[in-house]
Amino acid sequence: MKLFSLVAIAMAAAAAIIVTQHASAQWANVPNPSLKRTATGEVDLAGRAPMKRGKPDLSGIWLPDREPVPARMVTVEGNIPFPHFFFNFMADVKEGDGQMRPETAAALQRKMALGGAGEPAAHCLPTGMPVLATGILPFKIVQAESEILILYEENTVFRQIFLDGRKPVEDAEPRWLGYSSGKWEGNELVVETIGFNDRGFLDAIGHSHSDKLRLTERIRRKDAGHLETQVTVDDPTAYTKPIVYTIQSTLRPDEDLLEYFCADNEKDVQHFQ
Amino acid sequence: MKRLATIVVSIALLLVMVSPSTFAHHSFSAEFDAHKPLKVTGAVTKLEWQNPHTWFYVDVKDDKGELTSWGFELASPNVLLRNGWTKSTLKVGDLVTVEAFQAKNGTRNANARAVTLSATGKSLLAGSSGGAGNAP
Repeated sequence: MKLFSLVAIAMAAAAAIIVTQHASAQWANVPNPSLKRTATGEVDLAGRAPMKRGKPDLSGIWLPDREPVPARMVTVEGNIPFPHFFFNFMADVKEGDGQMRPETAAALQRKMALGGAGEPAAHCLPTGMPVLATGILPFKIVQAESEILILYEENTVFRQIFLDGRKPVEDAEPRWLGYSSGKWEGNELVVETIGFNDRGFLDAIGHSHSDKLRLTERIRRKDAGHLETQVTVDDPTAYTKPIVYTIQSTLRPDEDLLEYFCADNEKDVQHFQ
Repeated sequence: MKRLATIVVSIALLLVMVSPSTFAHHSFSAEFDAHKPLKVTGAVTKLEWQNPHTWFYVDVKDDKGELTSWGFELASPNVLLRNGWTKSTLKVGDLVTVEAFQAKNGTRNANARAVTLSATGKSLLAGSSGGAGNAP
């Protein structure tokens, strides 16, 4: 059997388990009273986006949409869906778009040669931005007047997006998830994040960024059940032009986040070769 | 330009190899070998229903009749829960057949791809495999 097929089978086998997500959750499907429902009790995902203090209310549990993986990853068990930009944030980059600078490409090759053993998440360190928002576990947005919190189930991490107009921190201590501030432009929340360290991954295969990364997210709740986030990765040190792509997520009504503490039973690293 | 083309091609070829198929926590290929499939039957001796991965252990009888313990990695309990599992889906004492891929480092650890309960013939992973599309 060809290597490709074997790897594909392995991928399918391991990925298969993450494909379906049942409606059940740990809180026994407690209905969210703020969501409009049809006569049969289903949440109307195509209904109007709820509003809060005159702005769209982004609150809710969201899960990045999935789609079949690229053709070269098709498996014997059929197409295994994954969020589009989970593996490769440059998946839709076309000729003339931003490209990796040579040193960025070389760094990616080195990481890939390690088979993923060096990825931060494998060592219980935070999954970087923005791959965190294209993962396979949900995130929760909590919207207050002066700030918005995003709670990510994976690794139980959070982001604070301040809406109070505060200025960027000078000589900020670099962070895994940076410093985020946001403002409303019409019905769109525009979030700017800077102050990253240079250790995070932009996607699962390990595209890197420098500490000069500026990440812009334009977040729009299209309707009750659908969240669209346009991401701009602007890092002239590592890429020739800003790279723009859009993540789609769908509401998970009546669910909640679960705990995820990576160090609880981490034992993979000792098996890495 | 040729150098850039080489880099692009190399990355395309490597892409499949390093995809984090086991879970966001780590890449399959960092730990397991797709060339080393394994199929064993035995009794479950221990279940670790913890993040970042659920592990279970099976006593397998070898050719000489001696028992050896194998450890099998599953997805995170968070993922399993959303696929209909609970911590009592697989219990100590259950007789199971496990299809898996072995660890690269030669230890008796493997990534489980299918678990079948001998008592009922029920496949514990099949219910969540392909074809579900983008279902929430």
